Amino acid sequence: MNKKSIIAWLLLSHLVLVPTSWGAETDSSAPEAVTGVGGGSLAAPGANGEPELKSQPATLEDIEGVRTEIETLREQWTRTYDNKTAKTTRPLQFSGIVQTRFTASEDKSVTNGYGGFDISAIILNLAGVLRRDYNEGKNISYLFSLVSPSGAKDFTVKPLDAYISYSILPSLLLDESYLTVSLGQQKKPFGLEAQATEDKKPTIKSAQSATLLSLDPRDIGIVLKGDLFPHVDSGFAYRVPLIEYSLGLINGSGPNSSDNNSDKDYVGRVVLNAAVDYNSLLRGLSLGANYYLGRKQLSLTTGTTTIADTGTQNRWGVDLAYVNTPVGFTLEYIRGEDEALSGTTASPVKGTVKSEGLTFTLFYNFGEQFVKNYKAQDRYDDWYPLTYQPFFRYDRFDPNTHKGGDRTDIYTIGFNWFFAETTKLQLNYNIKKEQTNERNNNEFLAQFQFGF
Amino acid sequence: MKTILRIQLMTMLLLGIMGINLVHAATPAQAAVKKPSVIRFGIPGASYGKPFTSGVGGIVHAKGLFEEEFRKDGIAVEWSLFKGAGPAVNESFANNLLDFALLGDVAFIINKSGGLKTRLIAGGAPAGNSYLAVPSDSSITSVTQLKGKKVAIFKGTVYSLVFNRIVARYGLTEKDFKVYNLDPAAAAAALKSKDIDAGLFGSDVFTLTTQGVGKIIDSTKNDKTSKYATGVLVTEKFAAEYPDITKRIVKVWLQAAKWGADNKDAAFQVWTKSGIPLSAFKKDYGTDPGKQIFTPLFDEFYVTHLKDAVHASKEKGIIRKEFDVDKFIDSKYLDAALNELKQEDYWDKFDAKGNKK
Repeated sequence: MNKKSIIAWLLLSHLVLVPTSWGAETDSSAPEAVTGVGGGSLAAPGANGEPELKSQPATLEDIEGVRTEIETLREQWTRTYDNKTAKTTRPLQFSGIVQTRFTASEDKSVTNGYGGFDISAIILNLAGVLRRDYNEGKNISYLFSLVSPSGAKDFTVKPLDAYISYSILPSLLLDESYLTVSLGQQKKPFGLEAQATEDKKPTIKSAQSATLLSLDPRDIGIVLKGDLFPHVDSGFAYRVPLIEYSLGLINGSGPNSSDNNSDKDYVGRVVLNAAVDYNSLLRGLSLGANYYLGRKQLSLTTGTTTIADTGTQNRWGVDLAYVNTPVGFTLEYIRGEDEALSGTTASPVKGTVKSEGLTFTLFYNFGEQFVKNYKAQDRYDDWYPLTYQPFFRYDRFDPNTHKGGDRTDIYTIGFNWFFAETTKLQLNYNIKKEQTNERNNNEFLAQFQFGF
Repeated sequence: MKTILRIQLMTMLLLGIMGINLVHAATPAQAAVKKPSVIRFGIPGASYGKPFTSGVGGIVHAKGLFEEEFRKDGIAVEWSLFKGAGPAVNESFANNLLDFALLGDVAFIINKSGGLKTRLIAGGAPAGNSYLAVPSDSSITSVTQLKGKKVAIFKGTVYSLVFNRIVARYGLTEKDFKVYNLDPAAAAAALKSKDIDAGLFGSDVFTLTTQGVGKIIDSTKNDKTSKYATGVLVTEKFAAEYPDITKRIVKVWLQAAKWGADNKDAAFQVWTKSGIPLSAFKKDYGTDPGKQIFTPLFDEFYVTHLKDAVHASKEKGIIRKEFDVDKFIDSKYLDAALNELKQEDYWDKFDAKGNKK
């Protein structure tokens, strides 16, 4: 490459990528041959045969040549941009995950009694900002995602998340409270496990209470989320609010469904965080309380006669979490109260079935991925810190506390291996103790999750 | 019974994995002969998308001087260049991911005040300049006119205190401004797009003035008391376990500092790898003597500066409690290295007011 081309490339990179081009400047008055990393030397400049740069003023011909090169390169770049760049009306971040799972179970009903591979989820996310408020951060953003759910025989696709969010309060100043409102299909603000998205769940299978009490699935409605009394430790770029709160008004009929009764469901969550400095042992300690007040359709059939009614579907729960490095735990208790019809259609009896679940997870991290700024280093290679996370989980669920012999306890010994930015391998061995089943249906699951 | 056995086996496996890190702990008897397999050095940098930085650390890193020193011992050197600057380095210290780091004074004051077990083993002259810049077509010409306006500061770094000191000259405090926490590259972009009314910068301000997008309205250039210092930190654990390695780190640091002082322009050239052009460093430090810029000494000026900075940081709410600076400084490695390199009389010494002795 001749001198003109080099200068042209440097100038073009100044135009196109201004910040990254800074530093390309050289100066003849500072003759020095710098050795790269690993080739250290503190010889005086110009010594040891190091080349000294001489000052050479550019001629008119040089400058004309540079202009021509820049025009040519600009033309090439514009053409490439027009022909080979996908464009959107507003900024768009496109991401997704694929989870490939292997299951071996003693339960003959699982994978037809055979161990086998399947694609447990494919999720595509489209996120972005519809209006960016540079002054106060009162942004309007969105998330739209599609999922091909686990167990689908054909490749079916359904909406997973579909909501728009608005920051009601300014979000640029760390020491002020935040408040956002979200409208659409989204996660319900209840508990710890139920709020974790598919890619963030610590275990391959969700806690029983989250799935069996219908807390895990998305719902459609409006949710307010905010915090109060933020504590900022700017020396560690750390912000933690003393109180976080969420309040939702939703259909209560699950994802991709219109409301199935005239009542709306209410869901609320309050979290008390340890508002301490980053270097405190109490960092990551939180206590949460949740309440869900809902109604659902009930029916009772006797012979050919069916009667319908509505009944309460209430949930409440408390959770305690300590998410720190290297050791942490989560403890979650959820209680369900569901009205149900029994008896006959001629004399129906409305009763309440009470259920409860308890989940305790203890984990240990070694590796650096969970240190926010450590993974944001700039290095020349495709570097990303490795992290290993062995864990133990105890998951109990009793579907009817007034009825004995129907409880299921699952002990999970697991290992998560995060070996690239968006990729992890999960290994779970579930020891299942089902009171309704004389034998244990233990299972081994391995799940590889990769994303982009 | 079978299930109990399974649980026991899996628990043993879990505990075995968890124990991996524990078996690395050295006994005192081993410490005398033990060498680390890796030295982990953290440094703020890469603000402009390039994994290099300026200062003495920039020279040591770019020239691979630690690698050269420890190659014969089979000790690897792992550099971490943090875009998040001081707060990111401190976060990594808190998570035991670093053995050494170069930090600005406010960042290591926060580090020590926050209870991290580190010691300061080499200084970096209180010679760092800061510049308050506004968009080039702004009508604002003074700090008092900025009152109530949007100002970008990289919080948790030296700029937290520098800004407070600059505005205090005019009887103002940080609360008189709408302060946004932005790193230098983000602040430069925001100044260009006029999303902020002013920003506090270092040498990189001269890229803005050269490009005609910013102009300087105030600075610490001629105010010795408002400049910032730097320093090299080591964890107490590493220093106790590997005192000889710690001394060699300081020795290499001194060699690089002297080279910088003797070859100022060449040092500036090395710093351009960080993404800041040479002209910016020349405008910023071109007239300052090399020995003033690169001095690693804990002289009266440095210690007094540090004590003032600790007190001021407490007053401004940057830290919650003060600490004993004299106990924080561990000068034995520096003294030994100065002696070994016969640099005791090479460096100029400054009194508490910054005047050459």
